[in-house]
Amino acid sequence: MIILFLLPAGILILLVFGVPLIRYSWLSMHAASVVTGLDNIPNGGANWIRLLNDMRFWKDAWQTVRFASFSVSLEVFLAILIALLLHQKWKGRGILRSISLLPWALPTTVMALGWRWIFNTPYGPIEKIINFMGLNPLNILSNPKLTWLSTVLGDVWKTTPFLALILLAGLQTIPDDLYEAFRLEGGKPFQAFLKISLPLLKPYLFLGVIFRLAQAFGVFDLIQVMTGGGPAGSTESLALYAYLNAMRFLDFGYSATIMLASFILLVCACALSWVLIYQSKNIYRVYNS
Amino acid sequence: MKIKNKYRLIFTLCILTLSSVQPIYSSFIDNSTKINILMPAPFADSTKDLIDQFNKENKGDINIKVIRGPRETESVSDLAISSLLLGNSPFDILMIDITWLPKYAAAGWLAPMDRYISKRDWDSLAVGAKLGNSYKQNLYRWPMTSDMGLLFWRKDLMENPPTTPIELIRIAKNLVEEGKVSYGYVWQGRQYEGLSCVFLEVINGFGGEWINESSEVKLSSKESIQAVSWLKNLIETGITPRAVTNFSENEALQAFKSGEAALMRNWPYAWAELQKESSIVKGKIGVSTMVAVEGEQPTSTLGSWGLSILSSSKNKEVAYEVISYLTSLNSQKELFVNYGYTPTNSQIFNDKKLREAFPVLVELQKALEQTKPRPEIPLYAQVSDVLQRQLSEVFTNDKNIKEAMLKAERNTNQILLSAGESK
Amino acid sequence: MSLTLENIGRRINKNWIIKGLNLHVAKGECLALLGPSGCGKSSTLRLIAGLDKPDEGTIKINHKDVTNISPVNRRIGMVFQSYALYPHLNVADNLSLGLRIRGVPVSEQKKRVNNALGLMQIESLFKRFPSELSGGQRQRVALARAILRDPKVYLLDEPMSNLDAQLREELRPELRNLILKGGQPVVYVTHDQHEAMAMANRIAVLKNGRLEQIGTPENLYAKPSSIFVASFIGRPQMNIFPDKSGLIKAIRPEDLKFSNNGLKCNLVHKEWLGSSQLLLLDSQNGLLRLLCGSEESIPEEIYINWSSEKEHYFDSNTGKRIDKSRQ
Repeated sequence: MIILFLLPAGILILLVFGVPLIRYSWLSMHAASVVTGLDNIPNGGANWIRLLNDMRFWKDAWQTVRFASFSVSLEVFLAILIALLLHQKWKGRGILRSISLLPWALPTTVMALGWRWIFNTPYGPIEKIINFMGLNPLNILSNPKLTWLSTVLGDVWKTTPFLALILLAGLQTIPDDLYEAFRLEGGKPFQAFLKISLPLLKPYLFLGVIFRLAQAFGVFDLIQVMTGGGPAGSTESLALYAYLNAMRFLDFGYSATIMLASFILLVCACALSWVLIYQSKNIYRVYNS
Repeated sequence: MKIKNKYRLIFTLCILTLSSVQPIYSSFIDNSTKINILMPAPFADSTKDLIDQFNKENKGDINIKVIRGPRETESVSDLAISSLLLGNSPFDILMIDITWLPKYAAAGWLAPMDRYISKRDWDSLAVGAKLGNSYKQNLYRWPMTSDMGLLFWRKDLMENPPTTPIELIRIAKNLVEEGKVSYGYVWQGRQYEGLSCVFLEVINGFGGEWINESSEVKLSSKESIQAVSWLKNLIETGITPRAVTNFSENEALQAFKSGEAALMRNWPYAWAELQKESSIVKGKIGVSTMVAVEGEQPTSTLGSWGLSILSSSKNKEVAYEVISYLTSLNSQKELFVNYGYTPTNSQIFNDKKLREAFPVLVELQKALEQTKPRPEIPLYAQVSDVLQRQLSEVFTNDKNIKEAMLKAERNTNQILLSAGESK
Repeated sequence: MSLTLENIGRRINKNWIIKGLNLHVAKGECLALLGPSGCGKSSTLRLIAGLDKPDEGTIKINHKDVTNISPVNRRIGMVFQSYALYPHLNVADNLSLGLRIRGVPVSEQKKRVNNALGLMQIESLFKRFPSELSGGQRQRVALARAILRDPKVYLLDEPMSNLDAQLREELRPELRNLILKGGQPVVYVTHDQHEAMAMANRIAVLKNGRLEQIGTPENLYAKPSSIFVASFIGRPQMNIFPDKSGLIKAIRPEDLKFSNNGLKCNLVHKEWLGSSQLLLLDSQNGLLRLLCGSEESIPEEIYINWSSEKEHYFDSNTGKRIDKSRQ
C-alpha cells in the first residue's frame, strides 16, 4: 500500500535524476562531437581514458574541491553565527532577518558582475582603498594564488543566508526547556551551544551542507562571470570545463564524462560530510558498552 | 440594476475574448512568410528601424521577426547551440561571429549560400570582409559588419602613432615617466577570446604565425616567443597595468576613455564610445593599425558579424532576400552613420562624401585590408582556449615563456590530431 | 530546609504578572501552586529556579537570600512539564551531563547515576534514547535527573500533565514518597485541583499573579476565601447564585438533599458516575448541580433542601467570603 503512495514521487525522482544520469553514462561511452558531425559513435571508454590522463580535469577537480570545501565550511561557520544572532529575541530582528536574505535572492550573474567590479584593479573600491593606504595594488583578479579566494568570497556572500535560514529553522525546533534544564545544571551559554544546539542541529546542518555541496560542486555562473575560469585557469571548475566542452567545443561525449566524474566526486563529498557530521564523537558516554 | 451589471460583465467578457482571439484570427488570413532572426541584443536594437521598414514595405508578403538575444557574444552562441541541438530550431537566420562558422558548418547547422551569390555580389565586398565566410569551399555566411583590431592613440600626446613594437614601448614609457598618463598601453589580457585576438596581431607583427597555411602549429617559434615576451615585458615594465590580465574590451575602454592610457587596442565600436560627451579624450583620438617589426605587415585580427541561413529553415530563398536587404548598400550606410558599424561593402569606403564626414573611414579601410582571420577550423574554440590558458599562465603565474608556448603547441597539435583521426 | 518568598513581584513591560507574593514552604512540605493558565504559577516556579529574576522581593532557601544567586548554585531539582530530556543523549548521558559539566569525577558520576536509576527502578533503560521511552518512563528519567542533583528544593511543573489518567493515579503516591523522603521543600505546579489535593500538604491558589488563598486542601474545601477559590476547588463545581440578602450564596452539590418541601426543581440532565450520580436541575435560582449516591432513587417531583451550615456567603462586589457567624 505504501509503495503505491511512494510511486508518483519515485517516478518523478527517476525522471528528474535517473534519466539524465543514464543518458550521461551512455553518452560518456560515445564519441559525440563536432568532429563526428554530432553523431554518437561508441568509442569503448576512450573518453574515460582521456579523462584519467587529462591534467586539466584533475586540476579543475582539485580546484572544485578546494572551492567547495572552503566556501561550504566558511558558510557553515558564518551561518551558525548568523542563525544564533537571528534566533535571539531583540528589536529589529524581523527586519534583519529579511535583509539578511537579500544576497540570496539576487541573481548570481548580477552579483558576480558586482564582485568583478569590486575587485577590479584599479577602479574597484578595494584597490582604491589599498591605493589610498599607499600599498601596492593587489590585482586580486589577476593573481592565480588569490583569485580563487575572491570567488569563494562571492559564493559565501551569496549563499550563507540560505544556510543560515535552514539552521535558524533548526534552532527554532529546539525547545527552550532544554536550555533551561541545562542552565539549572550549571551549563554556560557556550557549553549549551556545544552540548545541545550543535548536536540537535545536525540533521539541519547535514541537509544544508548537502544542498550547498551540490551547488558548490556545480559552480558555474559565478565563476564564468567573475573570472571566466582565469587567470591561468586557476578558478576553472569542473562544471565550467564541462560547459566549455559541450557548448564551446561541441564535444558532448567528453562533456558528459566530466559531468559524471564530477557527480561521483560529489557523492564522495556528501558521504564524507555525513561521516564528519554524524560520526563525530563529541558525545561523552558514561557507559562505553 | 443587477441585470444591467450582468450584461455589462458579459459585454466586457465578449470584448476581452474577441480581442484575444483577434491576433490568432489575423494570423489565419496572414499568408506572409515569417523569417525569424536571432541577433545579439545590440544588433537587434540597431537594426530595428531597418526591419520595421522592411516589414512595412513587404506587408502581407514577408514578415521578419528579430529575436533579441543576450548581450554577450558567447551567450548568444549558447542560446543558438541549445536551440540547434534540440533540433527544429525556431530560427531561419542566425547572426554569427566569425569564429563560430567552421564549427557550425561542420555540425551541419548552416545552409550553403553559394547559389544565391553572384560574382558581382562577391566583388562588392571589401578585401577583409571576404574572409571568414566559408568552410570547405562553401559559403555559409554573408558579412554584415566588419570588425578588426585597431590601435587607438592620443593625438594630444604624440605626433604619430607607433608603428613598431620598439617604438610603442619607447613612446608609452616616456609618457608614463613624464607622468602624462598612468598607463602607456592597455589591451585585453583576461583569459578569454579577446586575448587570442590580441596575440594573433602581435605574433603576426613579429613575423610569426599561430597556425600556418599547411596547418602547422607555430606557437613555439622564435617569433612567437618574441611576441609573448614583448607582451609580458609591457606588464613587467608597468607600461601596461598588471590588472590587464583581467581586462576585457570594456575595462580597456574605461581606462582609455578616462584619459589614463596613451594607447589602446580595441575594436571599432570603441570609436563611437570615445566620441560621446562622457569621454574625456573626445576629439583627441586617432586610429591606426597594430604595430609590426620592420619589414612585416601590421595585422588586424578579423572579427565580423554576418548572417547565415540555418539548414533547418523552410524558407531559405526568402531568408536570403532578407539577408540581402540587411546587408544592402543602403542598410550598411545607415548602420555606419547611425551606429558606427564598419561596412563590408567597398563602395562605402570609397564614398567621397562619407570619407569627408567620417575621416575614420580611411583608417578603417586600411585596417580592413590588413585583417587576418583566426584559424578557420571547427575545433577553433579548443585551440584558442589552450592558447589563452598558456598566455594567462605566462602573464599571471610567471610561467616560463618557452615552456608555456611549447605546451600550447603540443596541446594544439593533440587537438588537431584528434580531429584528423576521427575523420 | 525551607523555601521562602517575600513580597515577590515580576513585571513584563508594564504588567505585573506576579505581585506581592509571600510563600513559605517548610521542610518536608509539598506546596501546590494551583490556578488557571496565566495565573502566574509557572512564572513563580521560574523565579524560584532562578531562570528569571524578580523585579521586587526576596527569595530565600534555608533562610539564605538567593535572589541574586545563579540557578546552578541554588541547587534546584526541577522537573519540566515536557521533561526536557536531551533528545540526542541516552538516559545515562541525560543524567550525567550536568555532573560532567560541573566537573564531577567519572567514578562519582557513575555512582550517582546508578543510584538515581536504581531509585527510580529504571536501571534497564540506561542505554535508551528519550524517543524510545514511554511517557511514564520519561517522567521517571526526568525525576531521576532531579534527584541526582541532590537538590535543596524540588520544583515540579505539571509533571503529570503528559500522562494518562490511570498512570497518574498509579504514580501519585510513589512520586509523593520519593520526593518527600529527603525532606526538601517541594513546589508543585498544577492546574488540576484534584491532583493538587492529592499531592500537596498545602495549596496556594493564584489568580492574576496574586495569592488568592493558601491553606490545607481540607481548609480550602471547607472555607474557600472567595468565589474564585470556591469555584476552583471541589468537583463537581459549587452551586453559586445570588441570595435575597444581596450576598452571593454557594452550596456544594453534595450538600443538596432531596426533601418533601423546599426549592422546586425540574430535572434537566442526569449523569451516572458509578459511585454517585450528578443531576442538573432547573430552579428559580438558576441551574443547580446535585450529587447523590448512585443507589438513591430520584423522586418524580423534585424538591431540594440543605442545611444552612453548609451555606457559604460571599460579598457580591469583592467576591470575598463573609462568615455568617460574624454577621
